[in-house]
Amino acid sequence: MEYLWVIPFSPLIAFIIISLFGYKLLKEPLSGIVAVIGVAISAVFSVYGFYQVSQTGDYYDLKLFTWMPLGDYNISVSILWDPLSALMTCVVTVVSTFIFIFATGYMKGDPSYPRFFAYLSLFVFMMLMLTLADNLVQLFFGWEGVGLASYLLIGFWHYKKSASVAALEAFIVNRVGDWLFLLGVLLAFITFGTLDYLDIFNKIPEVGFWTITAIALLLFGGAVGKSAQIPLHIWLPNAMEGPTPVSALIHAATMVAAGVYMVARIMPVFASSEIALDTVLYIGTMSAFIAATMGLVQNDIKRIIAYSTLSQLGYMFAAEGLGLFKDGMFHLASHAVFKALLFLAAGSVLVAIHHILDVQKMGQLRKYMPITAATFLVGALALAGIPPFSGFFSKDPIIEAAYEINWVVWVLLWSGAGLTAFYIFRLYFLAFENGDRLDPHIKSHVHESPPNMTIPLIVLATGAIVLGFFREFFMNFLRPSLDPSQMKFLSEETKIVVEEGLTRAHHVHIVEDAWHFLVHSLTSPLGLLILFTALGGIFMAFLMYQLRVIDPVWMANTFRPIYLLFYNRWYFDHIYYAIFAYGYYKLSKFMWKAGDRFLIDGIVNGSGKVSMSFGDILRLTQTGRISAYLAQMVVGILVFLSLFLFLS
Amino acid sequence: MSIPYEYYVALSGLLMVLGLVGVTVRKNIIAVLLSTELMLNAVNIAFVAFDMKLHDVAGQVFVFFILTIAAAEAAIGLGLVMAIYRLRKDVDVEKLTELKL
Amino acid sequence: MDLHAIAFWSFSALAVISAFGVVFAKNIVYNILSLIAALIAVSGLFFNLGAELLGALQILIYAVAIVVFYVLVISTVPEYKGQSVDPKYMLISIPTGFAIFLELSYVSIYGAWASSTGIFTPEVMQDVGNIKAVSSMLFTKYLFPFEVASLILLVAMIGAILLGRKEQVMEENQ
Repeated sequence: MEYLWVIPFSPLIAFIIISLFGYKLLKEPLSGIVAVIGVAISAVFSVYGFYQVSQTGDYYDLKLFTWMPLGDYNISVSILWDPLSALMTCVVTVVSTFIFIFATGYMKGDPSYPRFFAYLSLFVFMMLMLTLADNLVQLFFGWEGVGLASYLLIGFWHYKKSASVAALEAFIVNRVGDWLFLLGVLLAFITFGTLDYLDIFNKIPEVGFWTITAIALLLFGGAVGKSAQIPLHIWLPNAMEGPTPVSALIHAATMVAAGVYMVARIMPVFASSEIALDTVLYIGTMSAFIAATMGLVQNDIKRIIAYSTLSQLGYMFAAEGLGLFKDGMFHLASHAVFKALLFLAAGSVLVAIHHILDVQKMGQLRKYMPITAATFLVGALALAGIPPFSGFFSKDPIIEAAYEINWVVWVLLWSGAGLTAFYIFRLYFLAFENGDRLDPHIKSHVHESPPNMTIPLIVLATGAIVLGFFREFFMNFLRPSLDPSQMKFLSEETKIVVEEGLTRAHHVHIVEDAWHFLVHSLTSPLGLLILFTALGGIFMAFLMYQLRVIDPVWMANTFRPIYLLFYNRWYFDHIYYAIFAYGYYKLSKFMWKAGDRFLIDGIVNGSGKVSMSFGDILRLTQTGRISAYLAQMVVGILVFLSLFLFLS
Repeated sequence: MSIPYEYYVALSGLLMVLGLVGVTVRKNIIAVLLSTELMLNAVNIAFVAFDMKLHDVAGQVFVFFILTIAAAEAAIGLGLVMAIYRLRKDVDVEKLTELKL
Repeated sequence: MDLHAIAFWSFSALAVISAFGVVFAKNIVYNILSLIAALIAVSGLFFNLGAELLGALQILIYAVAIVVFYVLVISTVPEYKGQSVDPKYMLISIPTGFAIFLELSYVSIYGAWASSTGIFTPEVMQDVGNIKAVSSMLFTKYLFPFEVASLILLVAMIGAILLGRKEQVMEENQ
């Protein structure tokens, strides 16, 4: 398995090549091609590694080199290759490859073309460091690295004020989570004396319940920031200021899933604390529902998809909170495919209509861009959870399992599914069907995108269709990493603790075979209820935005308070602004008046005045006469001599 | 020896203080220099007295150096007095107030 | 009262009286004469203490060489006719100086002395003699400061020459 080191370092080499020679030698097409080759190599290797690990179900812990020694513990740069990291790495590299290919078309003509691909390669390198880490420090390195890459890419068009502000916002909001995460890492190091996952897992039974809860909650704080869960979700919709491939890659498919991945990676830690799992569950459920309601009323095409990302990440966290880590990870994989597809289709639309983001100004685009429209429709159906698309096989099991475990969670997830179907089809009908609202001037230029943009779309759409049928394969594949009874690297004591933690999901039996699951949900009342909710959402969107039977404006006016609540995104931004921005401003103003003007200026000016008046007095002694100075010196000698004599 | 060395040191202190007073009160700059010679001599007495008390000769070596420095100081100091006199036609310390702006 | 005590008291009385003369006599010539008296008294004290080399050097260097400088200068500079002392500084410095003297004598008489650790005990001194002891120290352990002192004298000489010649140089330049 030694060849695995190629996976993270191939994008790094691409990054170095592009940043050194990008502007002078490679220029526009070549730097994109270098980046694509870099990530494609690691995709090939990771798929091969995925194949190998699926044969054996084993795990490999490769220590590449020691990063820094820390007392008895050496932090090493290493690769932990087991089914979980193999799946995540494959998702990252394969989806990245297609997004890179798409980006070569999307970024055409941009003056900073090499810089863009350098940043993208850097991002992939950091993300792979994160996924392949076998210890928390390397994970944190990748974690911060993707944060940096995300900051650079959101603010890629730095001359746009909104973009640089959004980049800063993303960075700062992430800092809150990262701070918690770092505290969690430190606490883990104090508690366990090591940061390697495998050692930590085997020491879990020795540690008290509250300590492990604190570690899990602090680490989850980082995941909340990175995966944009409530209450740290505000940065993600604004992050859509970046170029669309960035939104697809970072803010939909890979980086925001890092939180989900991290929770699954250190699953034994979370599983050994009831409170931590409950926190994950409720935060995820709330995010899934609230983000879906926010998505209902947005008009910015990318923001609607961004809110759906928030919501779907909430589903993943909810699955993990329910103890269904395998379902969570499977949803992550299928979501990465269809969300990247949705974003890339939106990007294709934006290129065609010259970056008009408002869906109210689109319409009838299917006529001009049939491939984009068809692939978008596939993505939307997958997101809505309509069989036989992948979203159905990954999302519906979570909702069904929730029904058997916790009905409050079920209600929220179930209604969230209906809302999801509604808003994504609202977007679809507004953008691709319905009346003709396009600016005539633009309409004359609208045309289908070039092949280097449509081919990734088609590939991803195929993935979104077929991936769901591999449900059983993925479940079995993930078993050595996420099923405590089959995790080879756990000690027997830890296995018992983890099994106990996951008992909440023990009575849940979701059919794993895709075909049987389909039959099951088409026959059981619960399955039908969920399916018809999604179809009902689509039908409502069809009535309101395609046929215009129900006037959306009338709806908005009738339910005005609710509409305003959703439209203003549950006032999260306003509250944060009031508390943090305005509160800080007020505090600063107070400190300025009380501390600066009164205290500091008082001291400074006062000391100035005092020394000036003292100076006025003292300059009387400065006669300029040698005798006077000498007399003063004599007095000084007396004073010091007396001091030495009588004080010592 | 009937006279304790402490008396020598006290005498040195008296001469030193007289020199200090002279440096402070005299107006003629040459007299000021003479007073510094007095102070140097006071130090010399103290050095030799300490030497005899502590059974050493390092102090006397230092007195030798002080004599050397006193010679140098007198040469430079008096040269300066000459220069000042040539410049201002006066040797009154009170009138040398260039230190005050 | 042995001879040493008599010598000490008489020499110190002479030294103090001459010092008063140096400080308070009005005429600069009297000042210099008093200084010569004080230097000879100090030299006597040195002899009394047993430092024969320094006693001799005191007379040779101070009382002859340095005082000659002063005499030369006062013969160049016209007689100073102003007030000899400034009463307002006397008001400050005489009480202060007196206090310093009290403190210094307090320290010297009641202060603790370091123990006599040197190797030149009176017996050794009797044996080798003061001059040999001081000179051997001067030319072995303190050879480098000795050479530096000679350099300082050279520099002082050059400085004195420059200061004395300055006017002439300026005239030449003009």
